Amino acid sequence: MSSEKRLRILVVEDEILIALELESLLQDLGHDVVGVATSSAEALALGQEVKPDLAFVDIHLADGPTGVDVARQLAARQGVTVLFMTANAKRIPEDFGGAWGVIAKPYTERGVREALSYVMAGKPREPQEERTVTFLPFGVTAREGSPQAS
Amino acid sequence: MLAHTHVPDMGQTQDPDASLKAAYRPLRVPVLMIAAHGPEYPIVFANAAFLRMSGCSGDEVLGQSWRSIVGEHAEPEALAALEASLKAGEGHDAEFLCRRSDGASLWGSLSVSPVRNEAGRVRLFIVTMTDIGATKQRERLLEEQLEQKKVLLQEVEHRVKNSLQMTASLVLLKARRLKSPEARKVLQEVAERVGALAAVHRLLHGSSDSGRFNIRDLAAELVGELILALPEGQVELSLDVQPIAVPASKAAALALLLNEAIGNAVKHAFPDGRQGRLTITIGRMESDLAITVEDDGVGLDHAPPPEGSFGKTLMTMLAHQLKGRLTWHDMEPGTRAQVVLPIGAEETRFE
Ligand SMILES: Nc1ncnc2c1ncn2[C@@H]1O[C@H](COP(=O)(O)OP(=O)(O)O)[C@@H](O)[C@H]1O
Ligand SMILES: [Mg+2]
Repeated sequence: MSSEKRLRILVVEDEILIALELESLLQDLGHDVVGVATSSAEALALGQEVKPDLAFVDIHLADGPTGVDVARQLAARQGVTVLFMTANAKRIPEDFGGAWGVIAKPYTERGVREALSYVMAGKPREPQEERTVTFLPFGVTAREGSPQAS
Repeated sequence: MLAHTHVPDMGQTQDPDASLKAAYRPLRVPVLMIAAHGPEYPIVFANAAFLRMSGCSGDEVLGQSWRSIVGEHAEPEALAALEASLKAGEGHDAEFLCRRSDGASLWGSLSVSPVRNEAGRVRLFIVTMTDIGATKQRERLLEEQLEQKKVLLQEVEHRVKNSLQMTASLVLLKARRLKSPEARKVLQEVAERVGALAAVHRLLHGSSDSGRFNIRDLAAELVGELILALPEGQVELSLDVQPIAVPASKAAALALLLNEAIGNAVKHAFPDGRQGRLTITIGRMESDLAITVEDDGVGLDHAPPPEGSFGKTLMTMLAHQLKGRLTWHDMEPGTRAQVVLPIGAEETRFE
């Protein structure tokens, strides 16, 4: 990867198997998973406590389809860069809830890698040679006012 | 002389429309007559069927503007269009939410026909009304049911994808805990095959037409993932894939087939940093669909196949299922795997 920076990442996902596997993958890719939350309350509390650079947020959490709210609050109040990670992309609101992009489930390693390099670049790259179906960046206009991972 | 003079007098002398009214009075279809006097266009006749439907008495209706029969929820554009037809003396058909005297509303289909005098001037309009409430109700019910089905379908898609994700995660989590590279490899291959099936679901549900998918997207997705196993720059990738729509029923088999063929080239053809080229071609060949995966690597026979190998067997099984022919060629150097499938009428070119 182009950047050697280790990101401090919060995983918000109610399926523990998926969360654990994603954690291993992110560690393999050289990042630190600083927390795993399964509900919206837990996610917001952990966000305050561990101050992550980046959060992977599923839309369906243990307390219902609360992921969009979690994304909004993490992005707007806590200055966290958010990526959705969901099998239900149709639920993402038109303003993207302050998120930078969506990784479609079932995710692939490539989708996760692309999402990470997109976040680390801090800005959208030009539309690429071949686009993955697993990662879809939302582009600049969508995330005005949402802070960068730095 | 006008015909009405021959009709028995109904009490109102000199009514030029008495005979028309007499004819409509007993009809079971609700009928109104509207005078051709703008801007009010007053109601001058209502038969018993209309009064029953509207719940009004004759006195409440006669002399009122035609607008009194439609409810306040009627769309202004629809009202304006009808008014324009009245002004122009033309016929008009429209559906309106009408008002009953008891405050309830009903869906009426109105058909307005102008009646002309001998000089050709419109003297009145005859309006017949049909209660289409039952039809509207059915429409609404169908719409609701369709909406429910859509939500349900989305929910099912969501669960399918989540389950595949969990399956892959489960297998990979176990793989990470194993010391033996052999065992890890086996589990990773299982996860890869699940991943190929998952790609199908992502593509199918992402496309507008859930019944078909574009084989080019599938090939690009699979090769993009599999090529990650090789260090960047070691193997040059060349993709020549036509955008062909394939029925969803063949998606899973095709995805697994591509996964094995490409996976083999990536895993076996370029050992020890060997440089080379991997070419994937998918296109029409006469009345067939030809899928070719070709490498210029070490060749199939570089080593005896390891114990328990399954990929090539799986490919043979899948090609058989798809009613296709699978062939292997020694390219000296390299390997070419080709599957030729009969192309059905359902397969079509995208754009
Ligand atoms: N493209 C290729 N280039 C070189 N060798 C290949 C290629 N494809 C298959 N092979 C050889 O054929 C063997 C059997 O392949 P396969 O049935 O897919 O099993 P596996 O991939 O699990 O070993 C491989 O182990 C490899 O030695
Ligand atoms: Mg194989």
